[in-house]
Amino acid sequence: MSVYVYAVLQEPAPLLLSLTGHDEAPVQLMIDHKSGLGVAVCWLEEEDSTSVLLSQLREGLMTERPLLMQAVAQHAAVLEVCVSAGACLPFPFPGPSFADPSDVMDRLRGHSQALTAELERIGNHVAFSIRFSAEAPPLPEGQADLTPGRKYLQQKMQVWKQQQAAARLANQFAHYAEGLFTEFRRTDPGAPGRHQALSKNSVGTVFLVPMSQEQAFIERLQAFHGEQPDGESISCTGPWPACEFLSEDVRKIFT
Amino acid sequence: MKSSLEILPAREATLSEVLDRILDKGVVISGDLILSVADIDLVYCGLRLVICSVDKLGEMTGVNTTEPTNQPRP
Repeated sequence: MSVYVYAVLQEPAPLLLSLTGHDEAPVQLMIDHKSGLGVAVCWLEEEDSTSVLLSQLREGLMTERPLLMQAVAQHAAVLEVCVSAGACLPFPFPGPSFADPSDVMDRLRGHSQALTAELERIGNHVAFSIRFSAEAPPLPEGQADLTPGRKYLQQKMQVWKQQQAAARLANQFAHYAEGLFTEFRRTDPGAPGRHQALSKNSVGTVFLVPMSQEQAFIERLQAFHGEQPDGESISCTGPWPACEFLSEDVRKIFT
Repeated sequence: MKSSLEILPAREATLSEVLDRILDKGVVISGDLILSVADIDLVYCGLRLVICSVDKLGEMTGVNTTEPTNQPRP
């Protein structure tokens, strides 16, 4: 058997006790009463499909995609409840797993100060993902007296310029938005970049938002959208558990 | 096209978005890709994809991924 860890929680709530984790295993709490910290875990049998999947992932072996998708969705469902139960540090999938449960408690006790500091940093936060897309400007009229070959090349060039213009617009848009939402973004020089190029004319950014300001964030986004010219679209999903913002140091504690 | 804004709760997001947000970077996913024309399978590719951010890739390989390079590709 092994212990699979979903999240570290501060003053864990009993709400979690009715949860089901991977392979229908009940989610349980392991609590260090001295520090007030706990971890949401489930016990996995060696022959459980999740145990097999975890070992395949660890070794970089072939994994069945449907099984992976199902396991990620199950992990996300548990994290959603953990986040709603109070301040927590959610692990991305696959979460850490241990053969010996005392290992988990040792890490919780031995690093309670670092874990508490991280809980203060991102514990009561959620992530919002925003994708910005810019429509390419319309193609200008071509010259009618060109030969078919030159006309083809001219059109190709115009399409390329059109894509470049849309890409520039999307990037400007994203940078401007980041400036606008400064108070919602955790500026952590050690954290990996949160601004990713998705395609030629769209960019994606993830914001870390305090739970108490979720509504304010949405309202700001709506107001921001109202000021944008036609041809630009914004897609926002969230709130997500802030797995991506979990520091490397905390991840290493549970490695 | 008018400017649009879509706000979706996480539970209504697409599976690819769930993977983006919840799956750890560095996970290897394998799969198959079959290229076909007019219902005739022409090319089969076995894929192994590593979900990884550019920054992480730079860390793992020691290559500066933020600067453009003039090195010719192999």
